[in-house]
Amino acid sequence: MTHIDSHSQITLQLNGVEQIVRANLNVAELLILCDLPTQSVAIVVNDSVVPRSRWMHILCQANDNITVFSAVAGG
Amino acid sequence: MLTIADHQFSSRLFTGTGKFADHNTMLQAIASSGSQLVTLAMKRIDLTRGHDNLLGPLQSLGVKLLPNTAGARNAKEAIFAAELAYEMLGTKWIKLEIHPDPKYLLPDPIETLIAAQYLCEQGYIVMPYVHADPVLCRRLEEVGCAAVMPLGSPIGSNQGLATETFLRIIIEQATIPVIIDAGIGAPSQACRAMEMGAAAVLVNTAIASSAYPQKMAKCFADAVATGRQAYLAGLGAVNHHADATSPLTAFLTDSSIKVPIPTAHIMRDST
Repeated sequence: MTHIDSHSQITLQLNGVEQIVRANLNVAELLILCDLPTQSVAIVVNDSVVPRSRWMHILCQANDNITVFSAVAGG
Repeated sequence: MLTIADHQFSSRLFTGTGKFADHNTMLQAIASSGSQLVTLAMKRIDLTRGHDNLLGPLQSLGVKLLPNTAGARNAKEAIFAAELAYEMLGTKWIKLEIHPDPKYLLPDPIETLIAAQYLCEQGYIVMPYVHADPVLCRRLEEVGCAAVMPLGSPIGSNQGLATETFLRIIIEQATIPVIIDAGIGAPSQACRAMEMGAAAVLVNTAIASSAYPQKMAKCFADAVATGRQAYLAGLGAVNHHADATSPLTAFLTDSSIKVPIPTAHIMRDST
């Protein structure tokens, strides 16, 4: 994938998949944009867990590695 | 009632959510089991397959959720997983699992103790999955674990209580609940664990992989309840020699009665 406009868009990794999104997008907006659940999930940005209370305040940066976790069946 | 931390459970059968054919089967089995504590795992959402909503249906059952740290290979990863679980589910209850070897999934005792100590200090309700090691279980109790979860045999193996000798020592020594986890493959084994004095058992594979999970879940519930009642009733002592239950005196050998010889027709009827 390539940048369309390096000033308004950034490339990041979301759950191992490359995404091109607009700059100044916060983490909460990223979930909605990518049609991911916002309840009962945990977000890790570059190896750090981001508390839900901080989602609106954390802006996605170019080359961020963002991972969204959810509950799955297990013993 | 079983009390763990500040929570009370009327059922001593805990269940896992893995390996069921589908969510509906899982939900029916959990409901049938009467379980009030249900484990689950965490995973990165697969963007190509979509989100599988497990939580909604589980929460509708009203069960308490116990996230695990399965997949963690050391203390650092397990602590990270616990923090994820807290963020995801808002619970500080955590089933601490650290098993670096995928073939046998045996827990790493050193990493488990390190992680347990840290998480207890951070206010987590830590329930570590461990080998049936009485010394380790004591150390885990000392650092503040809410319960210990020693294995009966390897995870998912259905081999039963292969570690019974050591489980008995753990139960004898512990002042926190001992929950036998892993390997229980049949209701009779769950019953035996409860007869031994286990506080509870955790069963997943034996129910999920049975032909009729809902029925098997009920069988386990009955077995656990029976085993608990037998423990409370107090099992009789095990003797090496026979110990008669009927009087052996004042019958034939020390009386004046002459034992008659069987008549011919009785002899014939008995052939």
